[in-house]
Amino acid sequence: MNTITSRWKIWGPMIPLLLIPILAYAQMPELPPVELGIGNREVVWIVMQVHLLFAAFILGAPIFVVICEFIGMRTKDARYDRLAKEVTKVTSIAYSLTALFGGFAILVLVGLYPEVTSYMIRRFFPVVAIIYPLLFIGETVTLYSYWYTWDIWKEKKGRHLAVGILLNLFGLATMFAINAPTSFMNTPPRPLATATLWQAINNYTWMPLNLHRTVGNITFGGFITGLIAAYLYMASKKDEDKAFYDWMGFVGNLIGIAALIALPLMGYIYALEFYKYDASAGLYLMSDRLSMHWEINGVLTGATFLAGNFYIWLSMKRVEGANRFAPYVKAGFIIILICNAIWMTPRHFWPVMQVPEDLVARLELPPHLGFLALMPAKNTAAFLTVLVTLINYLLYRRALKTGKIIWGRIDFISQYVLIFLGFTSIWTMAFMGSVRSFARKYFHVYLYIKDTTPESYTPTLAFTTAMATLITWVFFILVSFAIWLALISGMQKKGKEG
Amino acid sequence: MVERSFWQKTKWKLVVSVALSLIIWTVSGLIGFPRLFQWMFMGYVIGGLLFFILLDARPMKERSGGAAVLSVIIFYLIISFVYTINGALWPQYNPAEEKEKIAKLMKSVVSPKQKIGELEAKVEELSKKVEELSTRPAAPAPSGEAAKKAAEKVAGIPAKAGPSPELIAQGKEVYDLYECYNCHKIGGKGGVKRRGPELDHAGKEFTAEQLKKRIWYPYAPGTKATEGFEKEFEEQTMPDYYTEQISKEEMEALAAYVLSLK
Repeated sequence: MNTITSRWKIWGPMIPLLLIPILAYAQMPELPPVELGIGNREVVWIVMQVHLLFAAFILGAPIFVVICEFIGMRTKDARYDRLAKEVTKVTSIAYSLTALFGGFAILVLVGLYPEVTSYMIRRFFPVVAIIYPLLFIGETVTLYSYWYTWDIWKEKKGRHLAVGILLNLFGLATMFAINAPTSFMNTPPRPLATATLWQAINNYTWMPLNLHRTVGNITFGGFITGLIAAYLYMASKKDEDKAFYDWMGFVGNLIGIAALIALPLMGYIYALEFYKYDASAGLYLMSDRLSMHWEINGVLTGATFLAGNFYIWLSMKRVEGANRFAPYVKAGFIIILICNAIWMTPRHFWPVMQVPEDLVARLELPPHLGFLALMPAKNTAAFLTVLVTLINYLLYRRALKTGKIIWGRIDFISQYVLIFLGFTSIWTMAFMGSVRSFARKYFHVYLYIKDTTPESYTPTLAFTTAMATLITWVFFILVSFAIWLALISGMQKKGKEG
Repeated sequence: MVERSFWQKTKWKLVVSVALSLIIWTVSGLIGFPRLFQWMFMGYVIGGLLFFILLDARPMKERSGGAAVLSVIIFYLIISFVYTINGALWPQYNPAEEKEKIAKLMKSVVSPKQKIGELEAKVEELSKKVEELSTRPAAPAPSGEAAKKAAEKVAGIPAKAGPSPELIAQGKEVYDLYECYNCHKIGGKGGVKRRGPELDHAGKEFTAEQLKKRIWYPYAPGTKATEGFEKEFEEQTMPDYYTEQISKEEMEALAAYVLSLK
C-alpha cells in the first residue's frame, strides 16, 4: 500500500474531531458573523455540496461493492471481486476527502452563520455530538477493516462480507442521523417550542429524505463506478484489462439504472410530504419560484434515462444476432422521448405562480390541457420510461442467451456515455440539493427562523445552474485525484510483483 | 439484404422528422397549445432526430493517452456549457421583486427566543380568556324578534364601519405577500389545482370576525369545512401557522380586502 495514501486515509477522517474547540467558539454571541465579501451563502453552498457529493459516493459505493462481492462469492466469478476491490480502494481515499469537507463545512457554518448553526447544534445535540460521531467512528473502523482484510480474508469471504454489511449499516445509520437536522430545516414539527427531540428527528420529510438519498446514492455509486471504469478502460493497454473495465462499466451502469428506476417514486413521495406538511411549501417547490428548476430536472432525468438505455443499445450491438431486437429498442426510445416531453411540459413558462394577465394566452396551458402539467400525467410518463428501460434490459438478456458477447470490443463512444452518466448524476445531485434548500424560502428553519442576511432570496435558475457546474467541477477534479491515487498505487504494486 | 449507408439512414430520418414536425405543429395548434409550447415540441423533434442519428452512427475510433485525456476534458467542457446555458435559457424571475417582498416580511423579524416568549404570552392570554368564558354564566340565546334585531345589528357592523379604499388596497398587498392565491381564486385567477374555496363572494359569506378566525385558527373546534372542500379540510390543507406570521394590522387589512369581494 502506498504510504502517502495510507497516512491520508488514517488521518483524514480525524479532521472533524479537531474542530471541537471551534464549536465552543461558536457559542460566543457577541462576535458578529464573518463577512467574506464573496457571498457567504455561495461559500457554504459549495463546501456543503461537495461534502454531500463525497458522502453520497462513500455511502452508495459500499452498497454496490458488497452486492458485487456477494455475487462474486456465489458465482465464483473473480471479476466481481476485483471490481469490488477497485471501487473500495477509491472509496477509502474519497472517505478522507468526505471527512475533510465535513470539517470544512462545520468551519464555514460556524463562521458565517453562527446563530443558526449554534441553534441547530443545541437542538440536535445528542444526535450531532454523540450519535453521529459514534456512528462515524464505527463507519471509519469498518471501512478500513473491510479494505485491509480483503486479502487476509480471501478464503473467509463470509466473514469479510459480514464486515461489509456492518459498514453499510453504519453508513446508512450515519446518513439517517445527519438527515434529521437537514430535513428538520425544511419541515420542523409544529408547534416547535414543545416538540421533543424525537419529533424533531422524525419530522415530515425525514424518512422520505432517507429513502430518496439511499436510492439516489446507489444510483450515484453505480454511475461513478461506470465513470471509473471508463477512465480505466481508456488508460488500459492490454486486451485483458480492457475486457475487465468494459464489463465493469456495464455492471456500474446496470446498477445505476436499476436504482434510478426507483428514484422517481422516491422523489414523488418526498415531494408529497412537502405538500402534506404545508401546501404552500409544495407549491413554492413545484409551481412557483422553483417551477422552472423542474424543467432542468426533466432535462436531466430524460438525458439520464436516454443515455442509460443508449448504453444498453451499444452493449447489445456487439452481441451476435441481437440486431433482430433493434426495432423494438428504437420504438422504446420513441416512447422515452414522448414521456420526457410530457414530463417537461409545464403549466406555464413563467417562474412565479401568477402569470401576468397579458401573457396568459402565450405562456400558460389552456384549462382543457392543464391535466398535462399535473402529477397523474407526470407519473404515467415516469412509469412508462421505467417500463421501457426494464424491457430494454430484458431484451439484452434475451440476446445474450443466443449470441456471444466479447468484452472489450464495445463502440468507444460507450465510454463517453459512461462519463456523461457520471457527470450528469453529479450535476443533478448538486442542482437538486440546492432546490431542496431553496424550498425553505427565506427561512433557515422553515416558518420559525428567518434568514435575515441579504442573501435570503431564491437565486435565479441561471445562477443555480452555474453553481451546479462549478461544484461538479470541484468534485470531479477531486474524484479524478482519488482515482489517480488508486491507479498509481495499483501500478506500483503490479510493478513490484512484476 | 443490403445494409443501408449512414447517409441513407440519416436522409430517411430527416424526411420523417420534417413530416412529424408538420403533424405535431398542426395538431398541437388545433387543440389549443400556445405557440411557445409548440416550439418546445419542435425542440423535442430536433432532439429526437439527433438522438436517432447517434443511434446509427459509425463506431467511434479508439483514443488513448493524451488524445483520450484531451477528448474527455473537451467533452466535460461541452456538457458543462450545455447544462449551464440551459439554465439561462428558461424564464427567470427577478430576485429584486423577492428581495422587496422579503424586506416587507422581515419587518416583524424577531429572534427565536423572543418568538417563543411571545407565543408563550399569547398562550397564557388565550388560556385566561378561555377560563374567563367558561366561568361566566351563559346568557340566554335571543329568540324571535330579539334574534332578528341582533342579526340586523351584526349585519350592519361592516356597513357602519366601512373600510377605507387604502385599507382594502393594503389588504390586497397582504393577500399577495402571503401568497393566498396559491390555493384561492379571485376573478378566476390563482390556484392551479383546486385546493381552497374561491373568494369572489367572500364578503357575502363571512363577517370580519369569522374570516379572521378562519385564517388564524382554521381548525378551531366548531369550524366546519366549506362545501365541496371537505377533503381539503380533513387534510388540513389551509396552513394553521398564520397566527405566527400575519400581524393584527395585516389581518385587519386582509379581512377588509376579502370582505370587499361581493
